Amino acid sequence: MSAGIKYSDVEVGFELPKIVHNYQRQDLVKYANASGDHNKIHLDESFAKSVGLPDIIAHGMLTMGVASRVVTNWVKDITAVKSFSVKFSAPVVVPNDGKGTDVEFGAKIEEKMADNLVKIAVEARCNGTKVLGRSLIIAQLS
Amino acid sequence: MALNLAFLNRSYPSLETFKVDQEKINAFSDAIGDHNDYVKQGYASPTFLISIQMGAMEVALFDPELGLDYSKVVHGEQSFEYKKPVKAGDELSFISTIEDIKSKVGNDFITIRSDVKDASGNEVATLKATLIARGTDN
Repeated sequence: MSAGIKYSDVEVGFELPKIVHNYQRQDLVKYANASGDHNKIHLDESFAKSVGLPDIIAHGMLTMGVASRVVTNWVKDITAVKSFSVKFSAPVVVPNDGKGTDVEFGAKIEEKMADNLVKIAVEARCNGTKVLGRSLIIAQLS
Repeated sequence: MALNLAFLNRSYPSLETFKVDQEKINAFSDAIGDHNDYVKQGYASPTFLISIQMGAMEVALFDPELGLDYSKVVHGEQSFEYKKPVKAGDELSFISTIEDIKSKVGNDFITIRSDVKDASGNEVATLKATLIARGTDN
């Protein structure tokens, strides 16, 4: 596997293709089973409300996982991803309305570093609110 | 409620290795919608290792002496540093260390670092998770 994207082909400010991901209740159950995180704030509406949340909220790590796709869908090469850090700034609330909640993910090259590395700032917004704080992926291009 | 500072710097080595297989890789990738070719080729999505870290953290987080109200816990920050990609067939061991404990404006913060190695002792990744237990006033 080699990164399909050339370091020389990208500039600071380059925007990666956006992703819109729809979260439904059953997606949280699926993620809980795949990740082993069965915290009831993600699965049980009455429990979530009893601890002061507006409704069930999505796993932050589900949002981080979807966010990783903005970069991996672009670079196609898993070995290119060197680090990934996020801050969770607001919850993604998932009501039981059959429509689910849309989150829009985007990313922009913030810095070109040595050794063909690029620093990519990742963003995620739900109804206009940033659900990720400062979030960065370092990737090595070819 | 303040956390028990005696837990700072405590380490929890994994008691058994975590065997990565294609089924686990597929289930995780499917749950986050990652359909890239590397998944079919046996490689895990970038955040896959969180499924190991969650289990590793429970030993410490559920210890009543720590004083963490898990029902109030939300995820504050998470990071991964990768040395090599995780693939089907890997047998991973890990050591989780409580790196930081603090209280700030009524909320409790705990940071856990997990160092992951493969069966040959090669470093695979380092994860850091910061969890926040929201105070009752929030």
